Amino acid sequence: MTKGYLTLVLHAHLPFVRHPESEEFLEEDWLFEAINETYIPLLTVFEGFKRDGIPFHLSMTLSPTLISMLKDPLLQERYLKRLDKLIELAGLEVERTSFDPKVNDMAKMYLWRFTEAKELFQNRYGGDLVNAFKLFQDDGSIEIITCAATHGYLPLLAVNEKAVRAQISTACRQYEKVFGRPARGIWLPECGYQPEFDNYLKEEGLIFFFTDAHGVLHAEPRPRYGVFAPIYTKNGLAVFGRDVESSRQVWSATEGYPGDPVYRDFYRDIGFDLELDYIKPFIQPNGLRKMIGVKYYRITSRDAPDKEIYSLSDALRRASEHADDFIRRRLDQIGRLEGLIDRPPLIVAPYDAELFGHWWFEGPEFLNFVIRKMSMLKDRIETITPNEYLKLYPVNQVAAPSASSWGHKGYSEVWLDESNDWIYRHLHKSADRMVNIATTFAGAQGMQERALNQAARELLLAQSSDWAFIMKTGAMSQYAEKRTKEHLLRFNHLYEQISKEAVDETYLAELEGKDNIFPDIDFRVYAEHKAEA
Amino acid sequence: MAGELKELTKAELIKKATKLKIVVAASMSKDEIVSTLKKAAPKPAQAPAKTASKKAAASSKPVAVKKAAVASKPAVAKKPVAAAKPVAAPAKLVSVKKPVATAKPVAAKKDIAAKSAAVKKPAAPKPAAVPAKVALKPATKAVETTVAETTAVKSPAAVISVKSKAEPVAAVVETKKPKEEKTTTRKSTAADSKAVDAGEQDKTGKRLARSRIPASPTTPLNAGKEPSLAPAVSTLSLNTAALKNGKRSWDIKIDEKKFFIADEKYDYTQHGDQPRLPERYGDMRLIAMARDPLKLYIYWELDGGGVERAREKIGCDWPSLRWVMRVFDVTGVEFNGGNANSFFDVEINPYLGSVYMDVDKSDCEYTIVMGLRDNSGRFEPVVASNKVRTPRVEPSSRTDAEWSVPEGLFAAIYGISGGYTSTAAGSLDSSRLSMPFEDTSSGAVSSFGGVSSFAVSSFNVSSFGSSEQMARLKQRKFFFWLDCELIVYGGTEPDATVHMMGKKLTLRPDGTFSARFSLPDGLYDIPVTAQSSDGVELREISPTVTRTTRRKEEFLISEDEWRKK
Repeated sequence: MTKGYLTLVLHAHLPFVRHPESEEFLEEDWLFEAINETYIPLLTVFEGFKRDGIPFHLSMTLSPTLISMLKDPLLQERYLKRLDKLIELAGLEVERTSFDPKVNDMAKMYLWRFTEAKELFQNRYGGDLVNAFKLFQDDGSIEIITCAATHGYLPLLAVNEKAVRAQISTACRQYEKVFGRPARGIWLPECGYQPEFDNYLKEEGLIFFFTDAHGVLHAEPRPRYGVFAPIYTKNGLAVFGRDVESSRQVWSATEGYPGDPVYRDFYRDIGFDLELDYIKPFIQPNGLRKMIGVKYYRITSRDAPDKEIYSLSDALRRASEHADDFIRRRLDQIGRLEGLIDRPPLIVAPYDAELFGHWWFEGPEFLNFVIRKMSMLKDRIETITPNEYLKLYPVNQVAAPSASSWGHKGYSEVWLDESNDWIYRHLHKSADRMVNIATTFAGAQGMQERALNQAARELLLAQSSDWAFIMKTGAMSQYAEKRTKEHLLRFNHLYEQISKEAVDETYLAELEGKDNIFPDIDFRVYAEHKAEA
Repeated sequence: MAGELKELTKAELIKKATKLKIVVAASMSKDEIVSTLKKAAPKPAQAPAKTASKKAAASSKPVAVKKAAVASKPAVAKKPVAAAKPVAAPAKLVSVKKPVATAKPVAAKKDIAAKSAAVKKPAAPKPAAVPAKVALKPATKAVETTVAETTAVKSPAAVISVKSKAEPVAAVVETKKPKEEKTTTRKSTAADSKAVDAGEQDKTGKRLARSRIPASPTTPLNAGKEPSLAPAVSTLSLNTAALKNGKRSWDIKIDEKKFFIADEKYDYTQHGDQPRLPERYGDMRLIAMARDPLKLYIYWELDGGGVERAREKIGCDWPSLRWVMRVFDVTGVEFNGGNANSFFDVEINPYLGSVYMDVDKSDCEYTIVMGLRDNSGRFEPVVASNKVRTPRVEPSSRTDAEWSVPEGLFAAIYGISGGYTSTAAGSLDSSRLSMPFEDTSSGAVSSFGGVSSFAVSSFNVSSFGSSEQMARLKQRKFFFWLDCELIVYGGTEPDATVHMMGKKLTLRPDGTFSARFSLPDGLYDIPVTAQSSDGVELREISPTVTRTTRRKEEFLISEDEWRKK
């Protein structure tokens, strides 16, 4: 019998970026970097647990767009090409840094990593990382949960009920196809929740979801256990509220672990650092620099202009210390709660998966340490998945969670401000139109049906919350704007053609080739059901 | 100056104000107009660029937009229209937000200065009984009273934080509940500095990375200086002061790292034109969404004949009509036009197409009706919105009998959930538990603006000593770096064997080879040998290379000159 539980949730998501029209497209790097720095390292860590017989239980979201990309042959092929280039570059780097032993060590490390990654990706996983994660679900270690179809920020789409429902049901449909069973849990994008979503989730047969801490803490009536146990909605779905303390320790750029001076610096990438003629073949074809993924420096300190060379052993030692610290604080939390609640508290710790490895290079190793060390403290703390917890504690308080998100300031501000609010009138209008044509042409077949399905795809892609997020944060906002507009325009064209029942086959085929997400989508999720005659 | 102004007739004053782009309303008294003109800055307004460069926004003080409705400073415009947004200026109502310069018809048509007239809670808690048939027209009497209040200009006014710089619709708020205003203000500031933070941190971090970019003509170095169509990091970064105070939105910053690959602006037009979305859809609709517990975002389209019909119904001409948003609190009611719990009015500029509106209650259901109001206070609705509910901002006061939790215990658990330290948690009084978003120092976590304190880098240079000077100078962004690499190259017979530092080299088909090395400080001996293919001859050439580096930091001005800066 243990004293407390920890449920780790790794939320892996990337927006759908696939550009067959170009040889190389900058934003596809998002995926390749994440594969190199997060997904493969995580899988490696999980394999290690399995090999060493360490039990572990955690949840992972694989968002539908991410699943689509990981399973897409074109992107898999492009990833391999990129890996080959990286291996070549790493080889050159090993040579070039011969006079600098510390840097040389790092170059060798990268060479090894990239070579390993290729071996794993190509041979061990056959290019399909989704399947690799699935195997861990099949053997009971990981619970894979779904997310909205294109990670739409649902509270701001909720003006049109069908828009929200379609995001959820399309995701569940894909999940069942890919994983061979219905989804049990869902990660609402950005934990964006509004009370009416309860009904939609129930209809899809989902069992649990997550909200930010105040979603549960401000539930009505008051939750007896705060966030340290789930509550049930009136429809019986379990709601798990995020524990803020464990989040802050990892997430905070100022206080969190990732900012430690000994860890690898994110920005000092050779794509920006090295002499242009040398690095040119590995950056953007037009000569503009970009991140490559080979970085030699440690953070050193926030203000230091001169960064020191990274040392892997130092960093790993620190990761181990941080793991100790993390566990100690969880135990402390559990201790503090002991008098206050009458069952072992559950600490819910969700993170963006890409935090581990991509932003925080040592992240996967940190997780490695945490799980391993925790496995030796079974009598005091255990990892658990939400589903398993519900089996242990099937009786929970019923309360209505409050509208909330885990975005900055806790509500919808991030996705609704001057930089991105203009999109919503178009998204709402398009959703209305989609409902319109889906209802009118519910019996469509052949090309008309194809067009309707493609229109649904375009609408879903326009609804990605990532675009609004990027527009607000500014990093690649032009791209985000372009994507939003493109998808809306494609939708509008299809809408007009469908309404006139005059679909242009060439245009349709072109779109089907590019925006080929959700091959089995059924546009009828948008149709309104008239009363049965 | 004042004397001259007083000489003019009211109509002339209004004309003058319009020319100077100063907000006045026909309903204002002449004295009020004169004092408004006096207060206004004499600068002529510049037309904001159509294809927005966000640079103007850099110096913006968004707070100013809300409070000082008087002077219209287009530079304060926060949201430049993205490149592709069409900026037409049709005579009739459009649903796109426009900066002042292009919205000429507005000035011509009617001078709608949005002075918000809050009719929050007139004597009776509900508006006087409304005949069920005619929706939304409270009994004239009650309204008259309240209108009388408002024309005094001092009554509480709802605050609209209007983003666009168009006709300054910003509310003139003198006596609004201070809490609200402060909240609005602070939120705005926080939002800005947060947005700034996101950009600036990147820039700081990126600066370090970018400092490595050699000055090659192919690499545009000046990301900060590029005119850009997209919301640029550059303008966001100009507000260094806000950034330096250390409040950051850490979760956005880490999230966005996911998307950071390169910092030069990529020219997407090479992949086809920037697409253009429809300007309007030809609808009559009003949609409201809750941005956070005390702020709504509302957008509308007013197409179709409904506007003219409403005007006919109210029977007045445009000059004596005002566009008004009537915000109804409809919590718990099936709204039929007359049974709202309360309502308040806000004058609105219909050309804006959208606004952010502060409301006063969280966990409350609102319906908004946009319509026309005449001088006597009669209101004719034009279009109604969906029902929107603001999120809760604090724990519920209800406890479940079966899962009851006493006050103090709940406070303790709440505190631990929110990441407070145990000592703080013990002293929490649950009536003070409330939402983080009011606390702008919520840089730590999204849920709870909490306990963490940030290192505030303040530099009060009270006395000048060289260490102070050093500290300040170090805050400057001037950077300079340099590195050396070594290329060793040569040639021999294509079938010869070459070793460099003991390692075999691959020769090119023409027998040449080259090797490239980073060259930190030090002394390097590089023995290179070539052996003929028949094994008969061996040659060696071994350069020795030394690198040492001298560094110097110098300040070219005297301390006195520096002090003056």
